Amino acid sequence: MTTPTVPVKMVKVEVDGVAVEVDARDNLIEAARRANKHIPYFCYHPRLSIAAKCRLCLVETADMPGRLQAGCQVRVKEGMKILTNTPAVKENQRGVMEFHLINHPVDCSICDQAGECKLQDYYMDYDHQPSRQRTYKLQKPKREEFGPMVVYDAERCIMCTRCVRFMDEVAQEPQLAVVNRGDHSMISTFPGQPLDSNYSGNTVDVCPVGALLNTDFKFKSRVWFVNKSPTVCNGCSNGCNTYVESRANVLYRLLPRRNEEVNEVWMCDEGRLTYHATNEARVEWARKGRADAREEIGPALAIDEAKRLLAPFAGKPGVAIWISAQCTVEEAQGALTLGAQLGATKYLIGGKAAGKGDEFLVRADKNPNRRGVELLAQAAGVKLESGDAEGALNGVSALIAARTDGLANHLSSLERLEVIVALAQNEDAVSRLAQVVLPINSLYEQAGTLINYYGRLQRSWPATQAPRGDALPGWSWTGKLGAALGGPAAIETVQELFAQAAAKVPALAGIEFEKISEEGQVLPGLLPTEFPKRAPHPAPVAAV
Amino acid sequence: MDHGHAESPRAAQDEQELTLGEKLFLRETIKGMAIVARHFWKNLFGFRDNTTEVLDRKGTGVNLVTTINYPEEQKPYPPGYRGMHRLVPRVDGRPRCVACYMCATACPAQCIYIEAGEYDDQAIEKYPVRFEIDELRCIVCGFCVEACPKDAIRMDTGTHAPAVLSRPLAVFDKEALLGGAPVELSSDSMTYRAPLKTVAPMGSNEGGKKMGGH
Repeated sequence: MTTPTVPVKMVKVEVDGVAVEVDARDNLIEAARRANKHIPYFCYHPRLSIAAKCRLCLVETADMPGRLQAGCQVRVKEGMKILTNTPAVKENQRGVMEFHLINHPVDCSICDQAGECKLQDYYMDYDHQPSRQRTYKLQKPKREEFGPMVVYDAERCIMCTRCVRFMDEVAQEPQLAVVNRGDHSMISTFPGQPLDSNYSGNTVDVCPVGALLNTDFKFKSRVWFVNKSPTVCNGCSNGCNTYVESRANVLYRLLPRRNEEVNEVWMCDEGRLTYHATNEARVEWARKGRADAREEIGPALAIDEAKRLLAPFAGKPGVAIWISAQCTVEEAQGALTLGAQLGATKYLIGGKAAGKGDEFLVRADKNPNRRGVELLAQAAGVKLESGDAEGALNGVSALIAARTDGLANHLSSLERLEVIVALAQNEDAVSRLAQVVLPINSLYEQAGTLINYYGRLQRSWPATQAPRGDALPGWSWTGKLGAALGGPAAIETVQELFAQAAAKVPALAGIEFEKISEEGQVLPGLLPTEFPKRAPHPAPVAAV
Repeated sequence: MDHGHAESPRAAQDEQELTLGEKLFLRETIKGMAIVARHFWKNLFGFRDNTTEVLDRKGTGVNLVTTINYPEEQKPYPPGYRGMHRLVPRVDGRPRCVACYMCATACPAQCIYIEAGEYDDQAIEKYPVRFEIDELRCIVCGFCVEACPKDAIRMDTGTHAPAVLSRPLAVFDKEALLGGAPVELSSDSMTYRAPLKTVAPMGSNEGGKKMGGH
């Protein structure tokens, strides 16, 4: 979270004869990792306290031969010789695996963890023997609903207590506990208190086996069918780094992606559900006509229709551009360019309504790119007005909306407008009212950049392979509209559009789209002086 | 592409010099006509035993005619023949399949489509809501049968996929595939578990969490 101010002390150790220099605070597992040796473990997690419960990481050290030590619990010291491959270690690994599996139901075929399960992997690597269990396996509760997102299977549980420790230490909402003893022990919620934390989804991620499963993903797909794409969560302005898992055009789940300065390795439950808007209630085909008079006419004719409607307004007062803070930097740039071409007199920034924030990963602003839209508008020299204000659409006769989030608050004003051209992702009241609706890709379906609440530029990769219906990125539609209305030829690639934005915005100067790394980068001069208390953030930059 | 005509034995045979008798063709024509005539008379006056199975028709003079009147008569397929798939039922008629997708994963033709669902009251909570095999796409390799951990899909029906008049009809759904003798294995311990009942681990949970399966 914060960078250590104490200089890091390095010590020299040997792992199976490989000399390696490690941080003096490392435990044996981390030290071995640095030497490219793998010590297996279930209960250890680099971000949680040490439990030393699973006993799988026991290794030998040369100064105590024959005596096994927990690799997670013991710290390195100068000159330590770690042995991960001795007969005693191997025998322990096999024995421990056998104990872990003794009451395991082996219901991999109905377990969603199959394919990313540590028990499966380690069985193949360290155990690989048939069961010697000759009596009935212990039967425990299965399918216990811990909360809205998490379901628990006590039989699969190996009691590593990672979930308990996560809720205690990271989420800081202790909602889980271990009950009973010995092989009857299991994880439980407290009476009358479900696991309803906004961070409960992370317990599923830290669970090394299939004991905790995400009800949202349960039985939807096997994990080996889906592709992972690095994206940025669009649930709030924190911009947590995520992987979207998708197959063909369908998104299946969101998983946190490591970024020490944004979300570490966690994300909130709200964010995990944001992919649903990509799968459900989409505007798929370009169309014209309001409500029941709608007609799907395809992209070319829809652009013609928009041109026919908008051309009389070009250069006259009364044209407004609505930019949702859900737009990527490129989409916002496209909308601003179109506005300048039409001589728009009003620019409004909309977005999803503010919600609840917290001190950790959730921000109250539920839009991922408000900062980006503001920066671009500032660079373009236009005044952004808040779209939330009452009567925001007064004096407007033609409206172009780049994403329709938040516009539904102005339904009565919208009905009065002469022309509405909406770039819409989902069907809503606005897409029913617009004369021309152009389907737009969701953030998970397109390449683009977003700027989070503290000014971090982050890149998102497309997660689906083909467009849904006629859907295109917003900047593509605005470019086509601009060209149809007599402007310069539409820009074809997101890279060029980003370059166009970077040329105007001082904070983006010199940044190339393709050079933005998966971690993103902090834009100069934007960092706030104060961060939410527990939010991961970059080291404060010295004032220039 | 060069097939090396000169070297191949087949080519050598083709280029063999014809003998004088063969060159005249007359003798060869008569020989051919004789064969045709022999079969003609055999089929006209010969008889065969329709009462026994095709493979049982043995003995001289009984079965002069070897032609089988397909499809009225059919030669049985050998044991182990990979025929039309079936979804194996449990004794209560539900499919053994638990929608684990192993067959769909193993299938090289990607002809199996599965959608998983969840039983509310069964110990084995997962089942296929949809299970479809496109028999036109299927290459009859049998990998699905080998991949199945539950012995839930078999190709032991002894028939091949039937001819259909349009492509959609070749997609067989769960209801069409489910059938044949039910199978119950001694290893199916989960089946005999009492219907799922979650016990509250710490006394009462009233007003609290919703228990799974109820």
